[in-house]
Amino acid sequence: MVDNSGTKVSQLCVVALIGKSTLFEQQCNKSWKLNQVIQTPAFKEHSINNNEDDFEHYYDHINNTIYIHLRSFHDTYQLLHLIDNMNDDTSMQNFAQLWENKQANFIKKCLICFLLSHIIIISHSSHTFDLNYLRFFRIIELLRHKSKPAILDAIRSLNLLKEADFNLTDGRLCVPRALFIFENHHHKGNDALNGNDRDDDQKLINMAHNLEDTIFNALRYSYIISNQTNSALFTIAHKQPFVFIHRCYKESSSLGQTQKLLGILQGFVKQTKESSSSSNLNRSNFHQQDDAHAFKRFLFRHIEDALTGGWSNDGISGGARSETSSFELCTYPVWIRLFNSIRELFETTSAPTNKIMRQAFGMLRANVDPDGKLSETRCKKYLPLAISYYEEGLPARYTQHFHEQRLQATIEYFATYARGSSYKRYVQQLIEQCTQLWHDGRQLCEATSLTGNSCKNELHRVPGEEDSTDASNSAHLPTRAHNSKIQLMAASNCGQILQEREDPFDLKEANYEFYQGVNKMLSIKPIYFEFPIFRGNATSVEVVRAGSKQKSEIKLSNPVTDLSGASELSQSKSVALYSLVPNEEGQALDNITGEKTDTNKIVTCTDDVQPIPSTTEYLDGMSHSDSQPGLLPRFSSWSLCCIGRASDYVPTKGLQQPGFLTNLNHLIPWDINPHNNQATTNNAGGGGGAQYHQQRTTATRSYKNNRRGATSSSIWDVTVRVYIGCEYECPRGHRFLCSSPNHVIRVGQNGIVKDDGAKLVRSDMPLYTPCSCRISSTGARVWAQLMRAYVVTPSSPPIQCVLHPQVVPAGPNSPTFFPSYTQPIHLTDDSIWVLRFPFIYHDGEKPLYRPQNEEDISQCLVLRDLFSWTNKS
Amino acid sequence: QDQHIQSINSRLLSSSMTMKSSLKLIDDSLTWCENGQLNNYLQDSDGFVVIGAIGREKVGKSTLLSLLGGNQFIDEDRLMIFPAASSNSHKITRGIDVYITNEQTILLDTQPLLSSQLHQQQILESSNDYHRSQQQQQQQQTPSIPHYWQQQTDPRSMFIDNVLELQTLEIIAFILAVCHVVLIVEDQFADPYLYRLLQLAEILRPVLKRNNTKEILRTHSPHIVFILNKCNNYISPQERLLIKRSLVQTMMDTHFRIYSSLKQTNKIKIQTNLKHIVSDFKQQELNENLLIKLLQQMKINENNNEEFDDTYKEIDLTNDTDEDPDEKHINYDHVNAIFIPRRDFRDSHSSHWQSRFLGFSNADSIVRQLRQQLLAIDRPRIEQCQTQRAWLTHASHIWDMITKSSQLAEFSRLLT
Repeated sequence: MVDNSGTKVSQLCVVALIGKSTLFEQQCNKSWKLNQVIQTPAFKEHSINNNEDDFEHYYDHINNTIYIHLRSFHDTYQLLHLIDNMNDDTSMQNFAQLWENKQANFIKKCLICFLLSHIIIISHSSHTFDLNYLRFFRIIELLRHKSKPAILDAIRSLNLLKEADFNLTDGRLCVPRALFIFENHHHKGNDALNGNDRDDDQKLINMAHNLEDTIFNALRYSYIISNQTNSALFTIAHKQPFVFIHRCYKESSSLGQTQKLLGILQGFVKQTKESSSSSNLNRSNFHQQDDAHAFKRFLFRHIEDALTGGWSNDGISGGARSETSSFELCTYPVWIRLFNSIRELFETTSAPTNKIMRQAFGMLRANVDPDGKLSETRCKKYLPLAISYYEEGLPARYTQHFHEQRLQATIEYFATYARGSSYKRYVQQLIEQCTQLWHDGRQLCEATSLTGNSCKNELHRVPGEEDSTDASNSAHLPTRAHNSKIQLMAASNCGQILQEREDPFDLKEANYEFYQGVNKMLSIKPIYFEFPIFRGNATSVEVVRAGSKQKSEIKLSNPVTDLSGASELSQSKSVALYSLVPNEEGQALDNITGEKTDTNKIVTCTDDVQPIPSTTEYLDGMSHSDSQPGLLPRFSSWSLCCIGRASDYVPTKGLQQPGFLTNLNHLIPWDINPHNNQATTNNAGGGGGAQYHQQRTTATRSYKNNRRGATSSSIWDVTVRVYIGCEYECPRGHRFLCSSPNHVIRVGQNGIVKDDGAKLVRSDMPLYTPCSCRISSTGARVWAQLMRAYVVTPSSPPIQCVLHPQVVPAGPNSPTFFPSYTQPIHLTDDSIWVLRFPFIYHDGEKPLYRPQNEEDISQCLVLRDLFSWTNKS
Repeated sequence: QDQHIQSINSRLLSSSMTMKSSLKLIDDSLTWCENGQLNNYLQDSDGFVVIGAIGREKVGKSTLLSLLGGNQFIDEDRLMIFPAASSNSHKITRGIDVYITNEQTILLDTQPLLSSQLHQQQILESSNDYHRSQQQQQQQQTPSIPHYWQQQTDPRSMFIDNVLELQTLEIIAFILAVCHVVLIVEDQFADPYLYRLLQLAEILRPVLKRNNTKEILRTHSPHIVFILNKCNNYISPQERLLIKRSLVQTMMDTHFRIYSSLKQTNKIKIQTNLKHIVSDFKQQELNENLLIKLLQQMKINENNNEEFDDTYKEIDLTNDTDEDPDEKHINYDHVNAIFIPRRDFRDSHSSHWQSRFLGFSNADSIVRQLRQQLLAIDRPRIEQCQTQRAWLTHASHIWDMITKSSQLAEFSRLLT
């Protein structure tokens, strides 16, 4: 409350200090300049932890003055503090944002100073006038005009006007006077020589004059000061100097504590050495006091003017003035009330209810940050351009990879044109919009087929998987099967017919269902050897992924013995099952010609073989060396069938099946001498006991003696001829037989194969070999895969042929794959056996399809000992 | 035969000719100078480095560049490559000056940014403009081609400080586009307006396309080296760190190379035994204990070492400061910031002996080191600038693009 009844409350002059301070003022801001005048450390000089820009004010009773100090981000320590905390502060994430925010803040605070003080001291930390102030002044003036009605309202609401002589029609105390103070670092080096002091003074005076001219012209040409003194933001003193140059800034403390300490030390340690620092200090102290006095003189002249009626003759033409402008001094309580209410008006940043203020702030924001605005308009302009750049020549549907590449290019394009602070925001928008474009009907399903091709359908659901967890997201999507639009050709299990197939996405489809389907088309069905499969209750079972290597599960207490037991059984049983006793021949033939129902024809050994260790767990996928032993898959990826009797195979004609390349359909003769020791090495993996025990010699004895046979005619020279072959099949349905790794068989004109089966038996055959066909467009190789092995067993030989397939489909580190019947398979006599290999090898986690790299391809092997024999016991 | 002699001459000249002083690249009215003379000094070789300096007035750009070009501090003003603006004269660099050293360094000195002195000069010029334009009309002189933004808005209707700002931006954008290394010279820390101008100039940089094709060239990003010139006071390691960190934070969103362009130059000469005490200084709080400790240490030194002045050893003080693992892998030490003390710093404040303690190398040696490092700096490729001559062509092309930039015109309309 203003107390006017008693003693006369003194009328005060208000002095505001705004401006810059640098880091090197020993961590203190510009307020020392005021402290120097007041001669009390009223203002905090040293860096503060307070994050906000703020006012400090001090009421000097003796001189009837109020000093305001505006601390802003122009004070370097404040700025550094802000920058340092930039990332912590969620509201300001980058420099640009901080910049805009603080600029606006600074303008607002400055305006408060301009409204509520008589003298504005604009402090520079250098000796040059900062041109940025010109724009500040213009913006402050704009803001003042915009917010004037609101300010007047606020003042009116304080009911100060009742006091007759208090008149704030313009919304401010007066047209303030601006003073500019500078610091001179330039001549400091010289002041060690006392003789130059006068020169220095003269220089400073000249500098001050120059600066006055510069500032005056600058202000005038940007129309900040004009003849219309009353409406101007501030005036410039007409007759008195308005520029002051501090001779030096706080010299005594500028040495810093460190240096002071060292000064003391120096004296302590090297007393003999003449020290100049103390004299230096004295001199600088002297200068400092001198400086302070000069500044005080400079400032007080203006204060005096203010206290004795104000300035009416400031202005460009010096006294040519229109009318009396209001010039009000005020008391401390009044000033405080004014100050607080106006501060409140400007500092309610969140949502100014006042419409006028809202407009004013909007204007401020637009003016304060032209860079932000530039960035914004540029980004806005280029966003649609960037999107059309993305859309240009876009295929109907495309993969994520394509999308990402395109998006990257688009972002690069956008970045070259749209820059600045808004860029980040807009690039986010760009990414979202482009991704949306992709999602809206252009996204490919991209499920990868087992051969590594992606589904070419748009994003869809797969039949049977509709109930997946994210059904809600994909409910709108059509339901259809994956399709990579790649057609393959493949032969049936037995090789009798060729059929188109689709690129498989499912292992069961790849290795089982397709072949089952083709098998149904056969009019003459082969006899199958049925590999053991899981037959437990599928609903209650626990899926064990083949890849999981938890071999130490309790359930499998003794897998080794289990297996050994299985092998024993399987051996004996298989022999029993497939040995064709002469009087059973008719029936066997019936079987082979396939006149009975499917179920009857299937030769099975699962009922009596293999005490299955688990009926509750099955293998999800294929059996291989890393899969959990003792578990069976639910379907067999392999098939073994008998397609006829040995006599059905005519060696000179070869296999009469479709798809074979010319002359590459001949099986290779393999002459086995049952008495030859060598045989044991050949069939090391097969039957253990190769005995020199001769059985009946039969018609299957080779008609044509081989070299060994020619040299001696002993009984030991009897050889058994078996026809074998490894068939490769390329995705186009080309089939051919190979005699050794990457070599097709050589057939003479009379249809006689020139290769010897022994080589084939001894070799690790590659799983993939190049087919003679090539992709016409690129000339790239087409790879054929080893799909079938043929064995034609002679009728009643002294030996038994054995098949032992083991495949390493992806280099030495991959597991070895074998059928679920883990033992070598003993084949029956007098029949043509076809082992069909899996189309896809899958280790339970990923399909092991043909590698890209040719070197890796050569590492994919079907191990030797696929073909072997054992003596009949 | 004449041709033969000519070619010999040109070979000899190109290998041995030394520029006596700088030449104008861009003149007072910011027009490209088709300078035939400059071509004599340019070579068709690669392996050159372009260094440009920008900064406010009187921060020492010209002097620093002259020193980098081979001048010594003690050289007279008239011997300087780029004559410095002294405080008495109104001499001021305008436009861009160029000098090519024998080491194939191309130095670019620019007019000061937002200089009030320049402002003053332009005010005077603009008030004379009226008369001059009348004269020009009479004499049918072709005035220099106005820049695009000047065509869009009559510069006379603009505030001169805004005109100056646009000119400043043109110059910075140019420097950023044609230099391998840009020195940002300040004599006070911090000038946020300088950093803002840098960022703004980056926004306004022209988009380059490869020889009339649609292919957009990747924007060249120069090394930015911040130079704090004329440091008056001892800058403590934590202050250096603070400065470097704020520089990084401010320049976060830009593409400039502000790290690791230079090797450490801030080696501080200090006595080995004092190392841990000096690191205690970093704790800012200076208490009596420390004083005692320091005194004790000094005593020990005195006893142990008769001539301990000779036991100085170089210690890299700054390396100790940021072992902080939370610094997001930014080693602030490697920020390109160089602190050059005032040449007369020692004389004015303390004895030679004392200043050695304060950890300042002298200005000469810092500049010398800086020069060596700048010569050895890795040079970010500027597209289409394999040789010096190609560079000149490129630079003129860039300037042409900048003066025709619609973005600047756009920006000029946004200025208050």
